[in-house]
Amino acid sequence: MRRISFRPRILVVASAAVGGGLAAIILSLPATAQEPRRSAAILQPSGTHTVTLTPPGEFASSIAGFTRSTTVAPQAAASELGTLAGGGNGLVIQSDARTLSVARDQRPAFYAAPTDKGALCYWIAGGPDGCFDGFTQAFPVSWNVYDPDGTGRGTPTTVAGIAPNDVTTIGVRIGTETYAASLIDNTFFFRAPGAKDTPTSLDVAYSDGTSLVVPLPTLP
Amino acid sequence: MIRNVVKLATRRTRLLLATVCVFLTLAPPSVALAASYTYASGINGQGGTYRYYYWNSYLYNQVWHAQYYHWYVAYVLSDGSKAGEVSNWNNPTKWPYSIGYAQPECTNLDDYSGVRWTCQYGR
Repeated sequence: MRRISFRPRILVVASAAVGGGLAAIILSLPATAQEPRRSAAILQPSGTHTVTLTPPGEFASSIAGFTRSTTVAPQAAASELGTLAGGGNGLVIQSDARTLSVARDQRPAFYAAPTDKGALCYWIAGGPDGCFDGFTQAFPVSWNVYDPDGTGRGTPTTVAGIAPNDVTTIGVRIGTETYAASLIDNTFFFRAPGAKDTPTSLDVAYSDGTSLVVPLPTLP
Repeated sequence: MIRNVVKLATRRTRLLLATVCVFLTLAPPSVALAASYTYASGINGQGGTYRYYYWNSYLYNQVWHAQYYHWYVAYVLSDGSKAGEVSNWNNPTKWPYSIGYAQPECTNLDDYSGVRWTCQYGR
């Protein structure tokens, strides 16, 4: 009977490979695997515009600001975007992470990376991050309502996110006033003037002259 | 040659080698698993708020859920106020920053997708 050879280096390398492989499998496990029921959201947009749908798997490459950007995202941004793998998004392609728009004035930088399923993951510096794989009639812009130090005090509430290529302006309604959001390369950003101001909806205008009003939730 | 190598390996070095191998096998998946802890999970239950009871420092707060449903995450501070608030329909809904002393919470605003959602904090 042949004896099994004793090779420490091979054992160590094999152990590391097995451990690394297990870690890769765990990190790639989807958090949710079922298909959701498609139903109308409680925050239904109203208006005249008809949203153009993107074929499955091609969403990230359909965002003009993303395909146009040649600025590689900083490593920290690519790493943060890499944590968004799973949940049906697929694997985030960190090597393709780019800067969508740079920080200027009070506007933060936006970073984005595609996934191997064609979704787009993005991170607003100083704000939230997440992924999505298309605009729909009920979800015509990807918005985030956020407040780092809590609503009603300190830094005012911010509304920011990603808009389709054919959006020309985005207005943010607070009470009876409408304020213009900054819209650059598919990214939009607006910070309310006062800490107690509550954005209630977005007025989204399109290049064909149509528009949509997108209601926003009040932070609980 | 092989027999010589076997002889050279004392019992202590073999034990050390075995320890290193076990560590290299178990450490990476442990790190991958330890990054996120689930504090609430379920299906549907729109309108529900789920808060982790333990006051501590946390690295981030997020909820994985079906895309196109609205969620909200926040840290609750000891005076009852909030920090790190975000609401959207992206997946995950995530506040990717740390806090020193708080309770993480997540709120299902309208998710009746039938898909399991999972609220997690990072430590």
